[in-house]
Amino acid sequence: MTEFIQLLWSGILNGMLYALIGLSLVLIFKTARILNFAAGTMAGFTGWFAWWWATKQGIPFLLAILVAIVMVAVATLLIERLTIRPLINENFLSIVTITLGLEFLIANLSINFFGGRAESLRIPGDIQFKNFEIGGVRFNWWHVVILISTFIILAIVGYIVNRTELGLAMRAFAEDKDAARLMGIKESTVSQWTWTLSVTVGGLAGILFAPVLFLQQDYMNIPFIKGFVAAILGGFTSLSGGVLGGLLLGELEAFAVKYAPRQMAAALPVIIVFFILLIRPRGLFTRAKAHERV
Amino acid sequence: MRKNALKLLALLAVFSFIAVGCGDDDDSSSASSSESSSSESSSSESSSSESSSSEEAAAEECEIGPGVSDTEIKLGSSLPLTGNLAALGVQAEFALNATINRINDGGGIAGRTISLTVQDDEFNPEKTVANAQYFIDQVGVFGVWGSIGSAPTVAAIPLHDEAGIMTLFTWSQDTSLFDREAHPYFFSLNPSGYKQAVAFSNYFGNKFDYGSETPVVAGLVLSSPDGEEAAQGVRDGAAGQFEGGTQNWERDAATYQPQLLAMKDAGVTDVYTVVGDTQFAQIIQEMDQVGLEARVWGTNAVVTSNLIDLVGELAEGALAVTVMTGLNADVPGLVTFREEMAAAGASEADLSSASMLAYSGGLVLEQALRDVGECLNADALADAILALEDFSTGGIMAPINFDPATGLGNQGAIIQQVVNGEWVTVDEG
Repeated sequence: MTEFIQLLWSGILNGMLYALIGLSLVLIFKTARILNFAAGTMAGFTGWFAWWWATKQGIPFLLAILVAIVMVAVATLLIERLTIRPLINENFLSIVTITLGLEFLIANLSINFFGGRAESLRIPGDIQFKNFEIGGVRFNWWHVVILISTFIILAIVGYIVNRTELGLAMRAFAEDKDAARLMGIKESTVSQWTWTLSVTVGGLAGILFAPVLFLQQDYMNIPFIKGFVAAILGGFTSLSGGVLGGLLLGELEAFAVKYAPRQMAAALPVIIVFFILLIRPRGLFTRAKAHERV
Repeated sequence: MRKNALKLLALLAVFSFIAVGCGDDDDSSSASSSESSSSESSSSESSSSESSSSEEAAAEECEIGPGVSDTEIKLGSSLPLTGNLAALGVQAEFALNATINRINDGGGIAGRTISLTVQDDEFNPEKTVANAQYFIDQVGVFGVWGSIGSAPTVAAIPLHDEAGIMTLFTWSQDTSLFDREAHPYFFSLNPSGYKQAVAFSNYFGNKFDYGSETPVVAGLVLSSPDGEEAAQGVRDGAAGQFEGGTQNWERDAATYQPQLLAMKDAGVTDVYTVVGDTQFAQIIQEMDQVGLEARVWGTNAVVTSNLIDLVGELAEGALAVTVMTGLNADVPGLVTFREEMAAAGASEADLSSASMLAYSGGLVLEQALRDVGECLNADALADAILALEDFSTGGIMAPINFDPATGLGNQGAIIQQVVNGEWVTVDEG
């Protein structure tokens, strides 16, 4: 039982990572039908930036996080204004290509600015190295912080999307772009804030997991792929679906090692996801709308 | 329309997932190239007074290889200068340049200086192949020296072989490379992953004091043929009798916790890993997080100061079975190594297994080139390398003798451990 709970906890932790990246992707796709291939690199850049402020500039840890998030958010506003918005009504592939270009650009900026050596984002009190036990199950303090922070992030995003005017505008665009425009909602404003919100969520994931994965030039690329799969599992237009998809993927990976043959363990989650998507190509957590079913 | 888009996304997700599972650690983007300085100097030792007939006779006897002129020997190196292994590539490049500076500043070899063209491959085999083609077609090199990575070397070596150029002292562990019938110009100072695993296993089973309790030795190996060979190496050595609980990891893994939990469940006391220093740091951190109280063993790639910077005190006691001595060992070769690296512009952080391996290869290369003399071609250099006996690197490695069947020159195994925040040599294996 102890091992079961420990595996469950491990799966939740990784699931949270995939969920946050999945959420970051879904936010943009749901509103603007854009796949942001730079999401992982942007998230990683935010983690590096927080490290740079905290370690190289010596400012307090929480302030370093805040400064990194704010600066990346401001940069995102600029990027959106200069590269995405001019193409907003153009071909879907044009913007996808732009995001691929951004991925290359940010990756190169990152290696030139931060260097190729792996680094550790040290938490005050070194709590990433401190553990505690409950009933024989071992927990790490930083992992607990990740869990709580993720819930807070999800709650804030949920509030913004469901309870604010911006969220209403985002949902309106997700439902029907033309109708939203006719209602006087400015597409440029929605696009701007959706990108900022998405990159902030990804950036927070980059910071939260920097002490877990260590800062390397591409440390958020694999979580990006997994987050992408999580978003697909969730249907790619459902925010809660993206989160649940991430958790499901995390648990599949954790338990496959325990219950599948050694050589199969790594492949099993992929196979399961493959069959899920064959059976439900819309993902697990979306339903076809009435008019689409018709 | 939307339904089709979702189906497309679903397929994209599955393919990208599979691609990452099968792929290599290559995520960064741009290629960069740098070319080391190549000084021009020539000192012809041939006499101009010799008759034309004797020159022709000499030319017939002396076949000069590609990339070799009267004044220059052209070499290439494909290194990860960007991407997540960029640090290793940069460190190796410093060592290659240190060697070239030493040779060229000393007047070259047989009147020839060495020029080196370095190309970035991002640890991407496709780019390594493109670089190999560039070296052969555009630069016209005599050999490719000091490249990093098994998959990149395995991908490029058929081109080297076909062009008849040398593949010298790469940091590659794939067993298929160590076959001089297939790759007659391949020479290495770094044993295959299988041999390193056997060395660990034999040391553990025959010499290591594991205490009174019966140990359980598990490999934590990549899900790949290389990984399986390493696991087999542990089984085939003297620790094979204790083997149990071996686990695989995937290139696209974000965590090792499930594997470490399975090892904890199996009562594993010793974990043998084949990973880089950052992955090793994550494994050490996660072992602590899941409560796996076992010794952890690595290979050359983990012997860096970076590991200790990343996990601090948790690194204490970590072990590595290596083919080189620790950076803090008191051996004369290291003193010279440090001086030459500093002269090449390297900082303390650039001193690592990658730079030591490239530097040691440079020592062997220099000696073999001197032994060959003027009449330099691939066969002559191969013979000169094979003829070296107990070649000394000043204590960086065990005395070097090349095996004609495999091209491997370093049969030693040195055991290192983190003690008081430093890697120190605890046994010569």
